[in-house]
Amino acid sequence: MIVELPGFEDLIHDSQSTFKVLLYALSRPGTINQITAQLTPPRGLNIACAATCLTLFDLETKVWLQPGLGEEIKSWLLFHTGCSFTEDTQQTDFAVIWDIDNMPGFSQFKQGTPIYPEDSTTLLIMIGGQVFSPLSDKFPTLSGAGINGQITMPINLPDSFWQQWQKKYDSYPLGVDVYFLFYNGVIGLPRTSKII
Amino acid sequence: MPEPGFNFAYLDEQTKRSIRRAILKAIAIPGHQIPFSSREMPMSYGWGTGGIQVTASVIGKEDTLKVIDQGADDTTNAVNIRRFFKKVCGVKTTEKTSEATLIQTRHRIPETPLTEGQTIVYQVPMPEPLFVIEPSRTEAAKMHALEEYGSMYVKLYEDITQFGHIATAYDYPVIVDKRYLMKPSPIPRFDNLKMNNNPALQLFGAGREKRIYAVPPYTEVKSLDFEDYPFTVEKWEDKACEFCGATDSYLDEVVTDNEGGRMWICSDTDYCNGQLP
Ligand SMILES: [Zn+2]
Repeated sequence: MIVELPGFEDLIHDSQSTFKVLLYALSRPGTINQITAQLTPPRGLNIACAATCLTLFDLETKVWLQPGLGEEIKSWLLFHTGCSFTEDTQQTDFAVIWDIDNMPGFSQFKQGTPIYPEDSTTLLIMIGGQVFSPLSDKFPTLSGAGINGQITMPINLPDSFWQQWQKKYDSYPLGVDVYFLFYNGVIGLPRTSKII
Repeated sequence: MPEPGFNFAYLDEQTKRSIRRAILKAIAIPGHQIPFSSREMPMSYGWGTGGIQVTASVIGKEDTLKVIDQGADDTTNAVNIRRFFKKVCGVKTTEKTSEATLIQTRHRIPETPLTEGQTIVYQVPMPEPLFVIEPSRTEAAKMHALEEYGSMYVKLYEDITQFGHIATAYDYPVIVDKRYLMKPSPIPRFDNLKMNNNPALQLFGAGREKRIYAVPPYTEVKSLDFEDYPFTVEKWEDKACEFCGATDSYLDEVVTDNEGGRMWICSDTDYCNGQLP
């Protein structure tokens, strides 16, 4: 019998505090926010991503795992959340991504429909050390809902990511929303954020 | 600590999770109504069950909650909701706007400016702004999808030309983030200006109609108006609050005795108290 790593120590309050961070991160795009819940994630997930999954996934959610995220993660998520998995990025509510350079294009994911733009995929993108690269002028500046004037995105992402992001804006309110997750940090990038 | 026998914040974790996902989508698409499966709450619909479910899904043990009804903290509705959350969450409550991290409101926005990090939850009886011209929810949803708001402007313009001024006193429709037509819940027109570019997060819950929507911080909220009839708010020309002397707050005319004596006083009791020396 496989013994799963535990999830949240305090399900109710750890879920709430993590949700509060996700709420703040999405409503203040580009700000860095810290998850305080403690847990030991399965190999391949960072703490922020694992906590986000435990907070948002359940029996009602479909999840796509980018290839390379192993069985250990799958069984841990299944055990703690009961979520179902899909291979079809067009059908998924959440996508867990560890390799941003090789992720499918945004258009491969669910964009929502004109009447239900909310029926779209939320991308949980784990990022590593690039978050610590010093701010440079090639980091895009964003404006939009939740941003007081403008904000510089504090992370270094592939140019192709921003090229796609810019294109995608034309189809608003359809689109995907993104969380960047690193260690216990979270940055939100809702579909309303525009590169200026 | 919550009283024994209750899950924290009353709702079960599964319900909270589903409401939380709806709230995040609402933030990503400001002003757009997200359907959610509204639960039975231990009070009837007129009591703000939508707002209560949103509050219950957001609130944590570190929060300090303020509940107002028409600007007052001490009406039956406000007292009952505050008591409910004290009982099921054991959270701190306050009447001071500046001390609250979370504010649930019926029909007013506090006069004291809200700040970053605060969340205000509005109780919404009827979320669909297009209902006055399109009673079918399906058709209204299509109009939102197509951003087809022309007939709403026509209706409003007709009202204005009929009365010579804006006659809608409460729940005056707004456009959020240059895209979605939204009902701000029955707050006075006076409060519409406060919604615009507010540093706080604004969440809206309609229990009976099963809808959640949101205005993120620093987001444009523009009241519908016309070049020849710009949006205006209520003014009390030569009046000041007869308690505190404030001239910048929303005033209610209150009957003070059996002889029909009347006074103009701040609708926001916390603000009024704060103005007194
Ligand atoms: Zn006063």
